[in-house]
Amino acid sequence: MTYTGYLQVEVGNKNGKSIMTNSLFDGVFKITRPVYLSSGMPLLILIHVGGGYVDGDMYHTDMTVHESARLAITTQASTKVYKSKNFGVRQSTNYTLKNNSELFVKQDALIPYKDANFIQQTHVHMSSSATFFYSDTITPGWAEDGRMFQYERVTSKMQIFVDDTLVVFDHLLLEPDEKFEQLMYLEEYSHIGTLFFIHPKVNEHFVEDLRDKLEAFSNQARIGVSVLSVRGMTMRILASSTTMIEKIFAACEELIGERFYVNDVIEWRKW
Amino acid sequence: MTDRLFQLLQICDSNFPSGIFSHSFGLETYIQEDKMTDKESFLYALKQYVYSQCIYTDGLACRLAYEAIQENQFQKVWELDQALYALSAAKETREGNKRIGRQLAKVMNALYDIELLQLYESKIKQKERHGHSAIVFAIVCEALEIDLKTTLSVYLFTTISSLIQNGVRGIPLGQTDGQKILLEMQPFLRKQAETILHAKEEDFGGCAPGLEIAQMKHEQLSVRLFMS
Repeated sequence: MTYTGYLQVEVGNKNGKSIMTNSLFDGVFKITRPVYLSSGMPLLILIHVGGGYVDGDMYHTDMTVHESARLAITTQASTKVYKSKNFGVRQSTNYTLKNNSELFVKQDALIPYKDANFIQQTHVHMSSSATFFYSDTITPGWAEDGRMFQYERVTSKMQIFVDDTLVVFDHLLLEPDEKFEQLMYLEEYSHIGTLFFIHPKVNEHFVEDLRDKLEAFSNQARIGVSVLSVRGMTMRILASSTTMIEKIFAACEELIGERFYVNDVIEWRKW
Repeated sequence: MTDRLFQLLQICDSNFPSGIFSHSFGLETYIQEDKMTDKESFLYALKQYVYSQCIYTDGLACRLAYEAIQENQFQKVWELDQALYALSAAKETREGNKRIGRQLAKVMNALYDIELLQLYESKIKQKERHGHSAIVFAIVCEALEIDLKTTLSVYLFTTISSLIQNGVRGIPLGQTDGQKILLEMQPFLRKQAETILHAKEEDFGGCAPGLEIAQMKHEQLSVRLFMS
């Protein structure tokens, strides 16, 4: 199958250092050379050189973090999806995390414009000794007439398997209609933030502390946090801007850094 | 009249000991935020609840399980049980579904002799499976030879009728208003059972995040009438 963009990355641990053991990209996907953060973890930036996602595009990414290796990956810019009523735009991603590995993924905003149809599927296969951090944002693309939510459909499925058991199945199905902005749907907000953090030391106590910390945002966003059925947590945010969601993510990352990484917060800024 | 009428009336009865009585599945968050204060706002909220929770998640799971049983694809039934568990982001909702599923399986096994249901209950006891009302309903109705559309209608009706009872206590509303809501919901529920019949399998579990956040926020309410 020919993809519009294809990416394959493997990171391994060589003598205590995380290094790229394999990288392959094709089509409009490119990656930067790894930048080593102060903690020694490599950071990769995913670049889409095509400008935007259009009808019929197909993207696939395979990423493997081998035993005791670490990797952080982010995107260079937001994902803009244009009119794609006929075939839709499909994106699939597989993350594989071996024993004691760590993967941190931070996606820039997904912006579906008028008549966009975006279908995203993410599979995570991880060991229970591994750590997985993931955050993303979906914003409404504005149409020429200034109205929001002119896209046709966005579906985003995330399935996380820990030691081969499906423990998280997150499925956003966004189809703007008369009930879409109302109660139990977007509740008059416009932006959706999602965060997962699976780590052997996350517990109820951490979730309670995070809730206390996020109390500061309670007038500007609607935030739900809960523990998963495995060691980990999920957070869902409804807000009115990408900036607000970024602030809430940053507060969460700060607490994660404080509790689990001796105050080492990932410097996501674009290098 | 279907010859299963009395059996259906029995499992739909609001006194049927399923344990749903103790759960609001996030609705109590909205009650405390004054989003559901009277008959009209509650009726509206229930319809939104059906759209976001009962069609692509619980209802579609019930249909897929029913169809899988008819095709002897039992492994798929167990996978649906796992998927339903993984779909609940809020801990209370996950635990609530599990508790109700376990309780329903136990009571139904006391009433009927259905091999697959006995297997489901033993798998739940051995912690191989979690338990969910959608799966129990599919197993029981399929075994009683109740057609799929009636099964989905009964499942929707019993879920909503229980939530109305809980709303009557929690908001609170008069018993008569509760019954009026249940009557007004009927054409809507009939239509949504039809929607579930035609839903695509790939949309299983799909929703927008508002209700899920309310379910997670329920864990933080200081005074609560319900466990979820």
